Amino acid sequence: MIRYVAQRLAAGAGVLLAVSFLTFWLGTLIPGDLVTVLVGSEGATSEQYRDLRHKLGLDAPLLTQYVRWLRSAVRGDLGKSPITGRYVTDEIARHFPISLELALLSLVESILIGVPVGVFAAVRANRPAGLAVRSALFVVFSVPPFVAGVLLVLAGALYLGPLYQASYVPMTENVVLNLRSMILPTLSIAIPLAAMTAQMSRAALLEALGEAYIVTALAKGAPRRNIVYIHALKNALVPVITLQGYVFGSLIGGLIVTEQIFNLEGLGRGLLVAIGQRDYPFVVAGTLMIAAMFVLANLIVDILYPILDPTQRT
Amino acid sequence: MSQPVLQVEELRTQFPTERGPLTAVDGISFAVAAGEVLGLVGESGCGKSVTARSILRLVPPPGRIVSGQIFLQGRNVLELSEAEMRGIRGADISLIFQNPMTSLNPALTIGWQLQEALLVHQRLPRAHARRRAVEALQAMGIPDAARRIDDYPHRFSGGMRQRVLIAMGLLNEPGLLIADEPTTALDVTIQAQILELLRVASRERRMAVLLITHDLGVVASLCRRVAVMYAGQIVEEATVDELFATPFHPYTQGLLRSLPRGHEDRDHLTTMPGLPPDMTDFPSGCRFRQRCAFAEAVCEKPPELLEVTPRHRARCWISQRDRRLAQPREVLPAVRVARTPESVPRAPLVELRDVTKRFSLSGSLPRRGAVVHSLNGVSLDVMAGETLGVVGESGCGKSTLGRITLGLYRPTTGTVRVDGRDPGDRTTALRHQLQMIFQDPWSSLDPRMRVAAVVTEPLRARGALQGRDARDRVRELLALVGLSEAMADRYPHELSGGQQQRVGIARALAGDPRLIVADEPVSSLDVSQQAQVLNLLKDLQARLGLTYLFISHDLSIVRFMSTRIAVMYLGKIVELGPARAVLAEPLHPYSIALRSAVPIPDPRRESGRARVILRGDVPSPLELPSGCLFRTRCPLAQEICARVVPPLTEHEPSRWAACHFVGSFDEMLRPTPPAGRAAGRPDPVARPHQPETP
Repeated sequence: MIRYVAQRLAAGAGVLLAVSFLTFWLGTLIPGDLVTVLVGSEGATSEQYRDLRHKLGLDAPLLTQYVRWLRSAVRGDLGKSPITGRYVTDEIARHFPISLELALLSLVESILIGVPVGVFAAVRANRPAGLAVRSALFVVFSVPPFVAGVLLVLAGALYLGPLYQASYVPMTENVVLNLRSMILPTLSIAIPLAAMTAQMSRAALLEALGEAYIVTALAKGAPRRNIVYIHALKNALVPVITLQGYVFGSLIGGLIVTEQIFNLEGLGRGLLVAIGQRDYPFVVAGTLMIAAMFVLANLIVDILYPILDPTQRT
Repeated sequence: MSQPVLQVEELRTQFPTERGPLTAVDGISFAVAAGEVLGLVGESGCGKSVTARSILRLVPPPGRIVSGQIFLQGRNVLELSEAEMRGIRGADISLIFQNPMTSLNPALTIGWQLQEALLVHQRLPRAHARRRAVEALQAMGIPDAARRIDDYPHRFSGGMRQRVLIAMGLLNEPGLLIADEPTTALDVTIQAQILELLRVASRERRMAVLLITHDLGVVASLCRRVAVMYAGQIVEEATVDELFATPFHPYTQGLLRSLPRGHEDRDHLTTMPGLPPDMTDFPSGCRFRQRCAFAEAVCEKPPELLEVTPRHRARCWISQRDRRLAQPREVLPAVRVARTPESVPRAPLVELRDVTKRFSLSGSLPRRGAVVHSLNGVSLDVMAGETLGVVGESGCGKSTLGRITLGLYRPTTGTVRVDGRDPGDRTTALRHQLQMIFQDPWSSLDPRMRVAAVVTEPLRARGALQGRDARDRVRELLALVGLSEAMADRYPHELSGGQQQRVGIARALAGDPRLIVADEPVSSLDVSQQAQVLNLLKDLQARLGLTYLFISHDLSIVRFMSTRIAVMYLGKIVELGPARAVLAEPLHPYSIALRSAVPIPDPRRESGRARVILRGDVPSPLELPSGCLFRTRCPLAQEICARVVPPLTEHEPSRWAACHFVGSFDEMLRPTPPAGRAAGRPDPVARPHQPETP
């Protein structure tokens, strides 16, 4: 097992290496570089321009720049933003926890909402209640998250009353206020996600209920709650839970819309601003962070798999 | 006689379909007494499994019991509430299923699943339930039960899982056990173990057993009474002895006659024409009428199930009138085929020399990198024009052998030559002359291709087909396998299993093959279809001069088809010789055990037989035993067997066996002491004709 994890981590490092290089390279393809942004489009002689480029190391060949960056990166130094003058690691430390919290909470909410709804729909698969839930899921699923987000902001302001907290409060300052500020943004992500989770739980549970071992359980006189909540659900949850891992991986990179609507200084927003400013050190570091989360989420799923599914154990 | 444990009266179960109700069970009545084993026999779709599920009121939706009564110890099961019914399931009636691989929950330990069976019916401390579960596993012969109880099902072999399921079924000491094809998914030596367990359980506990099976051999070995089902009805019911000796229903007679039997020399099997009727639209009158050789005008009225002789009932006008059933006239002129001569010297078409095949496991984490030793040194010749039968249990390497012969797998070491050439060489025309017939005709046919396209694919593959010719060739090929030209435009799902397999055979024939590897070609077919396909294969061999490598787990079928037989065990040939001799006087202890494990569909022969029940399971091909591969299960194993690999040597002319003790193990065939430790208790009831001293 340890060897396996080590192997996977090594492969993950390879992925990160490739991602960092690609981001580096893509940055050079965009017309106009950092220096143009810094000096503006007028007022600098080509002499000054060249000097600045040289000072920032931008005139070296791409590979040299990359190796230079990599050397300091492995020592934990991701450089300084030429725009703000702040350390990139500090900037990431400011933006990243917001995104992470947003993604994790959304995921937990989507499981807490989605799985029970899916079970409800599966158990009543051929009855009106089950069919109604199923149709409702389609509706929810098809609403774009940003529409849901805007609606939630409005509804929250009107109806959430004392629970409503419009502006973000870091968790380190006040946990309760922080969680309150997260209710609406996370729900706007979690609700469509929950619809997907519910669909999948429903399908997986129905499939499990059709297996031969369910007939065995029925034939020994097991009550319905054992059949559904132990025999079937234990098998049905395996694909549902593992899917959540992959969802998390892609979720963390796609939070920008939510962060924009709810005015959260997350990683997605930070990246958008940085790209506009040609703040490449931040762009590379942020992209790397997202890729690292993706790799990590996949690894966790793979380690979790044998725990959830006994047939995958030795 | 006292009240029966189970009494079913006029039970009718239907499934609504778009074409109207499908009547799976159509008014059947029977009873099972305590300590009795009643066999319910029939081919797939005859309604026997639905009967089992109806008794437990677990008919899969949307099916439902329409009418009838089911009395369990005098209580009408159909009048109970669902809660009362739950109290009966698993406590008074237990059900054991066909496929032990899917019938245990993979996500729960077997201990949990066993304890659940107790705890839903009794208030017990967990520790007590656990102890009872361990005892039940021990009683079923599961080694190291106290430790293994916390394992998940995937750690058990199929035979062991079926033991777990039987243990589960017996935990609450039910009065009635329903076993639905309990051994169909198991290998024959494991089947023998399980049948022995059921036999002992029913006798010791005075339990009523309803055994549902398609296998007449299993019935002969286990049951005292038998009911035959056809198209939702019981068509005949009698004691096992009477039914096999003098069947009164033409369907029963047909079933019995279409089975190949190991001890008989037959050049073709009697077949029943046609297929069972559509269950949504039964024919008027006798439902077997269209397929029956005896049908008369009176058969257009529906017959009743009536006594023909005392306690022997049949649903047939003819036998009710005549009190007997004549030997059947052949409906179709059978193609008489000269039996392949057994000793004509011929040149070998296939030569395998010291072939080994190992597979490295990839994929999921736990077993990644492990090596499966699929073939462990096989040398074999297949003579031109002969049928070489390969027999063995699952995992013995017989399918790998077939694929290596065709060049589909490359051997890890050793050489393969067909007609002196390498079959794996894609550049020669040889590849078209090597064809295969598959086990499952349905999955071997592309569901989106019409029959004509399927059949001509091998020709198109080598560019040997143009327009007009194609149609002629399709007609020719279909005629060869007994299908009409009208079939050419059908899709595979529009054909019956037997017809699908004929299409598979036609496809194999399209390339004018010299060698056909048939890998379990009839194991997914019902008895009556099976006989037709076997006859066809024999007929084609005689007409086209084909050479067959015929792979099967079924000794009787291999015996019927083959000139010579190779018996395989764990990737090695343990015995090789003329078909008749290998079955009549096997040389290797494994062959003896294999022959003994196959139940004979003839109660007189079956009951007079000594049983050799092998211990345990086949070892994993991941870790082979040292020395003789069979020694871990061999009742004769001695110290030398662990050290020295016995070579395959010629003991009599053209008879080869790989055992240190050939010729010195007559005692294996003696009735006592039985070889099976856990299951093989001496059984005076089952062997009344056993001589006292051999």
